[in-house]
Amino acid sequence: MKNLSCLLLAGTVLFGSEYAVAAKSKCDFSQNSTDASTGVRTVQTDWDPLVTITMGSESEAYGSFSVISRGDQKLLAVRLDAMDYVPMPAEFAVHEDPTWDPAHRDFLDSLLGDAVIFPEGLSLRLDLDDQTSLELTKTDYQRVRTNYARPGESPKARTGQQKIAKGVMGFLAKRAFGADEVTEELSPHYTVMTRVVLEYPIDSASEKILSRASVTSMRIESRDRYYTLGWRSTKDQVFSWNKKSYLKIRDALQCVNKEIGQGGS
Amino acid sequence: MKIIITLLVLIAASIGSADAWAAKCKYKWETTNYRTGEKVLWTRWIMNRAFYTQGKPYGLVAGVSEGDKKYLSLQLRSPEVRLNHRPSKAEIDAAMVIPEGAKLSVLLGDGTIYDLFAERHIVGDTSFEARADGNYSLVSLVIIRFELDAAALAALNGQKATDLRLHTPGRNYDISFGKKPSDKIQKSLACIL
Repeated sequence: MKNLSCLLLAGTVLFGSEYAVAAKSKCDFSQNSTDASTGVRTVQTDWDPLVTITMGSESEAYGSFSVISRGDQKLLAVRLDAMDYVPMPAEFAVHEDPTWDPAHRDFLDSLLGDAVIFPEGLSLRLDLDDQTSLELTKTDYQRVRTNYARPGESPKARTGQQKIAKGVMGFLAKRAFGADEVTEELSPHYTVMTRVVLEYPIDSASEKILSRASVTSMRIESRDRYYTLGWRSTKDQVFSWNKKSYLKIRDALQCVNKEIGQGGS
Repeated sequence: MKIIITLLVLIAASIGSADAWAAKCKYKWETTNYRTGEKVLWTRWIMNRAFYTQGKPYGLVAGVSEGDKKYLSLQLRSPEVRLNHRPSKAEIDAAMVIPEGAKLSVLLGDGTIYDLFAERHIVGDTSFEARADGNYSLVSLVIIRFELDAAALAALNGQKATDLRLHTPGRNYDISFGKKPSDKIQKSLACIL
């Protein structure tokens, strides 16, 4: 009887794990439609979050990716949520009312319209598990409408961190410090918050590599800086607890190809 | 008596398993180059010290085999640099640049120095963060490969590497390995032969 129970239990566990794997590899699409006027069909996979571990004290970029087939073109789309810290120019006081100072107003306008720009020709570097990298290039100019928090103000877009602070880490922090509430450390800089979807065309040579490769992390280039998303375990020994943490770009590409009838398993 | 026998058995088992572990080669990456189709092996990274401390470079070494070629790979994290201004992209790009042919001097256990040369020009990944004091800090990370010919492999397998000095145009980086990491480097290189 005991043996039978053990067999049943083992069978259930095996079946369960198989089911879980099958469910994970299921193809989900956020868009699968044909434009009535142009006849262009667009197939886009669901957004897949990129887990990001950074070397610094706080993660400044979060994101997710999706693979798109639009007509004859394939694209890798990256949704980036990032924070940037811009110093307060010395000539302006933090709490000064900018209404009467055109230079101060110009500075604040520049934070909204010109702080984060992705010109054409900039790269998205994908790091592969064979320790090489693949670069996709942006073909359009993209200016991002940003939002900002003044020095000492709480940035509203820090949702990811707020969730952590309220969840397990918040509980642990409360236990450790005996505080009723976990207070956020406020930046002495202007915090510029960016939310943007970037699209990078995938040419046939890159698609050939991406359909086989495991991508471990990505680096997005903007006019003024780089944003790193994904596991840094390929490079950083400190965080290399799981060497099988890949971004599922290969799977998403296979899903799109299967849906549009270009093979894929 | 029973306790002594149990202890002896346990000690023998632990020594045996340690030997077995030492003899076994473990790889961090065991894959294929997606462009060339050549087999790629990276041994596990060996750290020069256990923890990252500010102001000192942090180095890790691995043995790499790709097709017929063998390499010593150095992962270097530069010491944190503090700036009183937001770094420009040009500053980020220039923070760690390793030119092709950059020299890595390897100090061996017998006191001799063996020079290796960087396989290609490489720009490190540099990240910056805003600090609570209003300043910024820069940290760079780079992985450099140094090809090992037959003579270099023989030298590094014959003697333990104890210290590394990377010569770059801006500055030199010194990384010192203790006895245990030196042993591990030698074993790693044996694993890519």
